[in-house]
Amino acid sequence: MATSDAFITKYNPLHHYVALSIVFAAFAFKLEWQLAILVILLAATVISPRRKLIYRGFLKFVLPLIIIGFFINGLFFAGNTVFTLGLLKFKGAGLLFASRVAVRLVLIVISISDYFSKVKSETVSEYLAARGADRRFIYIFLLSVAMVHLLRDKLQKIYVAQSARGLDTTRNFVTRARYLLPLLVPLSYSYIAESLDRGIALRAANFADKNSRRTKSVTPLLKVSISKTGLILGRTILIAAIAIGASRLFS
Amino acid sequence: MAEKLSWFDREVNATTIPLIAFGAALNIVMGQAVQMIKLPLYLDSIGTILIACLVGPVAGMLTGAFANLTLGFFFNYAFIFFIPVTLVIGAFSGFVARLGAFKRWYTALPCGIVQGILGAVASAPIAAFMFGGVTMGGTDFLVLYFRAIGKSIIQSAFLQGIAADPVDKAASYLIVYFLLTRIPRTILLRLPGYGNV
Repeated sequence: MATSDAFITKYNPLHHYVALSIVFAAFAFKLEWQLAILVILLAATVISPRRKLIYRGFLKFVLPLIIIGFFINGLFFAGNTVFTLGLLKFKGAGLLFASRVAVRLVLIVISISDYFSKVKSETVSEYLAARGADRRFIYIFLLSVAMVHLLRDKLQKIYVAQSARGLDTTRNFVTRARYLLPLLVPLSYSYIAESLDRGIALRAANFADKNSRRTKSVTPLLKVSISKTGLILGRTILIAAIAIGASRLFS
Repeated sequence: MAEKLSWFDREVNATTIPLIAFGAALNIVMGQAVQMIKLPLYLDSIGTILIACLVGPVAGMLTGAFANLTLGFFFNYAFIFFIPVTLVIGAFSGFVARLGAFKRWYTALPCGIVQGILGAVASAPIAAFMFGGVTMGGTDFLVLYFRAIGKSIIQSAFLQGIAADPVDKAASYLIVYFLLTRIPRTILLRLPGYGNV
């Protein structure tokens, strides 16, 4: 059956192989190599059209982590003091440890965020399905993402209703802990019942039966066209990264 | 003759897949619920514990893993690295649920405390070596304190976990116990782990 071009998405696996290689390098490479990769990555990020998104994630999650890490490890590691800031004495070993952690984190976060900013979750799911990944996992992932928003809305509605019935968040710890139940019971009750109904529908469609004709004949909504050049290049980069990491381990 | 199913296939089938997704979403939404009530706890494993009890340990492990994967995908990448901890929580909760831990509150409470200790053991190496002991959680000041009294980075991360996790997990186990007592039997009867409740 011919597929309309509107449903064909292109997927270049080079992105995820590069991201995987960088994550591997963040753990297995020498610090000097990691710094060299970091410089290249930062230069690539500066010219990337998605730099705002990446910087936002970096400033929100990673930078505070790195700064606190420098303070905690710099101040409380054993060893010689390398510089003082008023009453604070920073130790060399602690700062070195914090630097290693910081380089590793920055490498991982920039590579992963760059990858996720390029690729849609639906495309990744279709790609994984096309590569033979278990459909059950893909379904769980997509359904849990969809359910988060539904649960949040429902929780907000239940909270408003319970507040109208006298739920008071200014009382003591035990009373507030007990207030969780009037929120969680209706939420869980309705969604467990709904999940069971959804399960019946899936069973009726023979969803988890690998051998059913119906499962085999299901046509995905999107057709993914995988770039062969990207696949070969990506695999070569990953194998090279693993070889460099392994040579360091065995040397 | 009916085909013999593996343990994995028995717990991850068409009936349980939506429940696992619900549990993963519940873990994520609990952060919002805790903020609403202004509780000084995380309670971010309630979905994992609930599904481990209602379905089984494999389903519990998957629930925790998918919750952290989703959180990592959309909110904070740090969560992805703590997936091994969620696997420990799911496996242990499912195991103790089968032993009848959720039949009475006074058996759920000590199991929650043990769960907290196991969680601290599993999370300490990740927090120490991956993040240098800092995870931007409210308990970071505890790491600071333990470092100040001369503990190593791994000891500090472990002691921070021991100080915070048992209380959090004991509370989570108790909440799941009370939650299960309030869900109608007609619903529970349709679940594979009905005998655990």
